[in-house]
Amino acid sequence: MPHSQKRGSVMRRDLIIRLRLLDDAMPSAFRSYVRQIYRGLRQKLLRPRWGNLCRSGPFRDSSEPGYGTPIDHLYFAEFIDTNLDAIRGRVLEVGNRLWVDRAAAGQVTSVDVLDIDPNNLQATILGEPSDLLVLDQSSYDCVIMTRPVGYPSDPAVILETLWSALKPGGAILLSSPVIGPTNLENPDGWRFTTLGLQMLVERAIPAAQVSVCDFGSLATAIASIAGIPAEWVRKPALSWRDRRFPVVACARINRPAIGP
Amino acid sequence: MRLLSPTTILAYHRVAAPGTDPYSLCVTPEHFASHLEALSRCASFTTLDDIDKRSPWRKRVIVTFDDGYADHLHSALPTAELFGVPLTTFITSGPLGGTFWWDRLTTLMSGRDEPEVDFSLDIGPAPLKVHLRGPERWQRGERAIHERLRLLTPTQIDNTLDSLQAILGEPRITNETRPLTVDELVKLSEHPLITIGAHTVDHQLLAGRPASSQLESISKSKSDLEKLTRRSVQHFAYPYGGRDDFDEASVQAVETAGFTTACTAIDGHAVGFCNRFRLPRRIVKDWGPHEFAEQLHRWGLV
Repeated sequence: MPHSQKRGSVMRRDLIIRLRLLDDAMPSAFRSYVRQIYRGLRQKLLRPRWGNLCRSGPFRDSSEPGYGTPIDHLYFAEFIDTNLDAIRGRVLEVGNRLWVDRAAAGQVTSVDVLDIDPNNLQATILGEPSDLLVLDQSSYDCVIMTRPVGYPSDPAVILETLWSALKPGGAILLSSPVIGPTNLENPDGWRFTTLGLQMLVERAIPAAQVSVCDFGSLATAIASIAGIPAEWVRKPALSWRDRRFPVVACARINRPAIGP
Repeated sequence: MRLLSPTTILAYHRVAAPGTDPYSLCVTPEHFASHLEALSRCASFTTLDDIDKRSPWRKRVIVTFDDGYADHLHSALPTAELFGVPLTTFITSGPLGGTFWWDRLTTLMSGRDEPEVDFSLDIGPAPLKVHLRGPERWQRGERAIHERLRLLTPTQIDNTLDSLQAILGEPRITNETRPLTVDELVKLSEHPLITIGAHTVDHQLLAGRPASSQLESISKSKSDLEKLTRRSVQHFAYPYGGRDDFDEASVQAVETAGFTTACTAIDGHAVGFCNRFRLPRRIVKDWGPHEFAEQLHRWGLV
């Protein structure tokens, strides 16, 4: 738990003890009067204040230029940074070249970008990630895919394709948004919770060594849905973590150096 | 600087009904006639020469054509004559009598029915591997190659298309589309409803090119067209015309070359303090009468 949250909970406990002592010291008639006022105040103060959050559309459309940093990008970056050791040698990024350049200079020897979108000028391979023949077998040391749900194909088939393109000893860094608005022009087919992502990987690639994690909090979950960029969220709220409200689920899938 | 009266500048490319139109450049002759008929009911037509003149009573529309296809003379002009609509056609001076590179690409990649598109092609800095299946495989492949070719120089484009032809073999369809020939251009320019504008020599993307190279291509297209048509060429349209397709050096070059206006493909209508060298236009697609009426409503013309 972060320090600020810990301090807040200690202060709340302290306040409750003091109020109980005060409550015991009061005459009974006065006590019921005070309790009535307290209940009224509590009802008013603890009610959610919607402000401008109660709205029919998002604050900003994340596909517009100048949106800022989407919340999930912040979490993807954190996931990638904790797994930089996996990004080495020949690397494949699916979608866009977003994360491979975070690796230390000299660690990566070549980069391919796979996408189905013909307008994507970063793509060096134009094809479906679910097409087993699109990638050379056992040829990449690392595969990064931060948006598997953006493709309408079966995610298990996509994973099998990426796995077959991975060299023994290599790793797939995979992440998936858990919540967020749907882009109507380019609708996504799949979303996974942390457990769902783990089950997907274990079923699609039984030989894989998989470790999953998630990132998010209630505040950032609201921000993701409401189209609020990270720059508009208070900094302490960006560091909160509450596993009940995952915004993105991530998985590192290692291919054993020896084996299938 | 004089304020511009609100003017809607429409951008067409072709009036034709070909078998394939991967870049949505064509408007059928029937639809073009219905567009002009609808426009003549709600607005008055003007030209870029008169963009400064005041017109307080009616909404003003300028009809422009890009690239310099032969159907500007054979299809667009006869329809425009019927309605008395002046046209401004922006001519790419280099390919006159030849072929546009994107039409050569379409000819190479159309009419193919192999279930799998699978080849590697050296385009620009990195080779592109194409491996596609599914219903739109050839169209997707063509779009990907087009997006990369437009960043290259004419020589690089020709070399890449030669390589593509070596991989795919001879074209399966014949090229029905062609730019104007020099004779056709002269004939077109002599018509009283036609104003000739420039569109560079080679339709190469301007953004990011050295300022001197941009100025050379822009000035040469003006001088070439003036020499061929024996008329002053005062108006220019940026190739591709999108926000990222030209830069400040392009605008400077257009001013230096002596043009009085320049059109973009940025959506909007020209009004007030709008920069004469960044005039927005409305790109027109092959809309039927109902769809076009909706667009007119959206553009505030009805």
